[in-house]
Amino acid sequence: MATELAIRTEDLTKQFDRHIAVHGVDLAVAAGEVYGLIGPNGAGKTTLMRMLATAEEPTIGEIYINGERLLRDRSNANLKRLLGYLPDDFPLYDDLTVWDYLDYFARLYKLTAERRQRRLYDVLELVQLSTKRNSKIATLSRGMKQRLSLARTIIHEPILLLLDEPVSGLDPIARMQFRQIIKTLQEAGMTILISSHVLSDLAELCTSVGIMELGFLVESCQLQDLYQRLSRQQILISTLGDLEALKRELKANSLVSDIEILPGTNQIRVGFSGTEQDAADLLRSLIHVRLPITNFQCTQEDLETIFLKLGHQQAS
Amino acid sequence: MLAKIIDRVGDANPQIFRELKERLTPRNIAIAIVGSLIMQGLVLLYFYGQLPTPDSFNPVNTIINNNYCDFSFNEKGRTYDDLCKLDGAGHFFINWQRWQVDVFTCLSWILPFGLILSSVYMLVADLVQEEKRGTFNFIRLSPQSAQQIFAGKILGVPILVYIATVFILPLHLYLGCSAGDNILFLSSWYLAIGSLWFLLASAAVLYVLLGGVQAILTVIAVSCPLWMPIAAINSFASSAIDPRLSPVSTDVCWFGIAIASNAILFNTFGSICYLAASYGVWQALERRYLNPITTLISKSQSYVANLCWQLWIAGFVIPALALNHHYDAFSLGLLAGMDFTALSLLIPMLLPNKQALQDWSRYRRERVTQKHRQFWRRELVQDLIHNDKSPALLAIALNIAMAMVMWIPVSIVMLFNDFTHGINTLAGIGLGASVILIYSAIAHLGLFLNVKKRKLWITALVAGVILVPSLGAWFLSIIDAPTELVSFLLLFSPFAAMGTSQGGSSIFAAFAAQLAILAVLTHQLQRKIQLSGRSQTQEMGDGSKK
Repeated sequence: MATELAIRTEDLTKQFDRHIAVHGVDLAVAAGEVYGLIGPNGAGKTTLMRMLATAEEPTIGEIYINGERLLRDRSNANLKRLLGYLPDDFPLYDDLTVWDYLDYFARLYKLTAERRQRRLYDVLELVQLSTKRNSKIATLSRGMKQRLSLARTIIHEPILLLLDEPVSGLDPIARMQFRQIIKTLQEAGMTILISSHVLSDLAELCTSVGIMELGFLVESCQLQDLYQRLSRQQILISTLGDLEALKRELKANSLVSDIEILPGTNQIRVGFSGTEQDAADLLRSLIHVRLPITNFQCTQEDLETIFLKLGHQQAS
Repeated sequence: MLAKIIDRVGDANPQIFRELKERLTPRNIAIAIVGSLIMQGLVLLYFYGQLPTPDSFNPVNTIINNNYCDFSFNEKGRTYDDLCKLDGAGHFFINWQRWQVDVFTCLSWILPFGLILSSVYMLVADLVQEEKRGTFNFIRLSPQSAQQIFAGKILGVPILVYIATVFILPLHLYLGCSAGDNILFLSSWYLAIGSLWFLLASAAVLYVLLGGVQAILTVIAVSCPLWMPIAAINSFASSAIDPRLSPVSTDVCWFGIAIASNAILFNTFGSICYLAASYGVWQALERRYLNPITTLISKSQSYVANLCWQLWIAGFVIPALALNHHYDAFSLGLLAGMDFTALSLLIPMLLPNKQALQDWSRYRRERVTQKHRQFWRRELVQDLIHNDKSPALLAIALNIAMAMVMWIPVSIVMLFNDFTHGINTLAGIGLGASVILIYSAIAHLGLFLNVKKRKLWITALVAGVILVPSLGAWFLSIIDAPTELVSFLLLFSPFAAMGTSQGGSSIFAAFAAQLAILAVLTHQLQRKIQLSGRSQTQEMGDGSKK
């Protein structure tokens, strides 16, 4: 059975005057996925998010949320209930209390009185703002305001969450808290589309990624596939013996490339294109020829390296 | 208690909930009530001070004149119509009904002015703040309808003004009844004021959605023309109480109904008109709420709205034409001017956004060349008539044609009464129509200006084209320039009908010149749109190949 798609776009394009912000994007995000959207500033991530959130009308192209098409110049009330959108800026009503603010949005999303109460308590607990429920929003810290915005975004239990740079401007602890909340939401089965410049966060959270450059979606796949296809594996080997002997032995292996002796150390870094089993075989062969190996560490290029390599390559 | 009420109201309309939560505190309510009572007290004190007092009475000189003395008192056949009279105890006979009428009339001015101007100010200020803060976008993303949100805004934001108003009503109602008014009339008065308030409050919301920002300027702009409807409503209010106070006209007829002959009828007619206009404003509100860059009304809506407007105008035109078998030229001129203004207002209402126009140009081309090449002309016409992203020239021309359906027969009827006047009117109508199309073409061309504040430039450009010939003609008339020149210049202005008195050749020359200008402008517009569409298509095509 084919996986149900939470988001599907067809030839989605947005043009501002002469500038094409989003260019013919065909996006497909399966239900339950955490999809990371990465790209430099001006790549079109925010415009894409805004179109998905119904905040911006596409120039051409179609958007399907949960299989249902977004209609132009229509209220799309049913679809809006499925969506939760957190933009990169999060204006709030400073004069309202945390509770009243969330209560207001719960009413906007037509939650019944009973469900509203329950959701308000649940959401405040999730974003760790229960103790602040009667505080005026103006008195909250930036991190708390960010969490409150997230609470507002999920108050109506959307099935699709669109988070645009949700951790920008947050300190490491607030970022960690935020990440934890997103993980909880993912476990609850929400589909999450998230854009961020902090790629290490995305690598930790996402199941799939899309790379945008100059308005084009240049890559869109499962994170594992991306690593497998594009992330070069590296092996760091330390020895107590002769580095040249080790180098010779490594050269003999066809899966090894780019051998580099790290200056001032007794370590060699090599590129490796084999599987985990091949790596194990390599280690076994080195020990077999009695090389005094003290460390054998397999690593992979991270998302940031892949993004830099791929984004610029594809766009150019 | 208060929280429970807000909660209940909030279940029906979340926007009211948000507005009331912020504003409806016991302190604010107390301020509103006390303020209202103080204002009423001050009004009463002022009018109480206008009464003649025995202390001011000089026994030597018994001639005292005061509005509120009972002049109808006669003493042994002598008439003292302009003198105050004393009773045996030395107190003046006071005409309390007149005093009550005056206090009632004063409150009848304060109440609508206070209600409407305060509401408009608060709504504009609040919505501007929402737009600036960016919070309004979140409301737009919710599944609530535009009606719910704006009804919540209109009812919730000025809630303290409404409370203050409610506390004036008992005194106003009491004075109205005491002054001799009946409940039915007072109800019609409240209905008329309420409808006017609703129209202006809705228009204030729309003003912000169109990019308006200055609350205080809006209030000034609204207060200037606001006295007119209020004066009309109040003059009939006075006439209902005391027929001597204000004229009741039987001349103003709408499809034969003398709407100004009766205060209740007048107020009801006014209310229906205000509510119908409010309906139009709400249609525009809904469109702009869903898509902030769309046209104010759709082309299809413009045809329906124009049809209703023409019917409304026809209601006044027909009696003016049939008046004693001799048409009322002044009224017809006034109505034609109103119609011209209304048709000109279609330009900003239907003018598409530049981006929309470019998109339409590009994708129409793609659609036509890829799928329906053989029928492109037919599709183009359909697009120009119905598609809101396409240029609005044809739609405006169609709306003008609808107006012509009424005005051409009118001029033919006039022609039978006075041939020259009829011909001049016909020419004036034709010239007026082509002038509107020229303004429209200029506004469209203004979309392609590479300037920052494009809307402002377009407004200035069209205003310039409207004003230059009019002011030029006025200036020439001041310096005693030849009448022919003044009239010829007027033919290119909104007052074209006034310049038709010079007769055939100049009218024909002006009409030919206008058509030539229109042809050049339309050609220029077509070229601009095509260029804009082509370049974008190529740009996108090049991008795809990469």
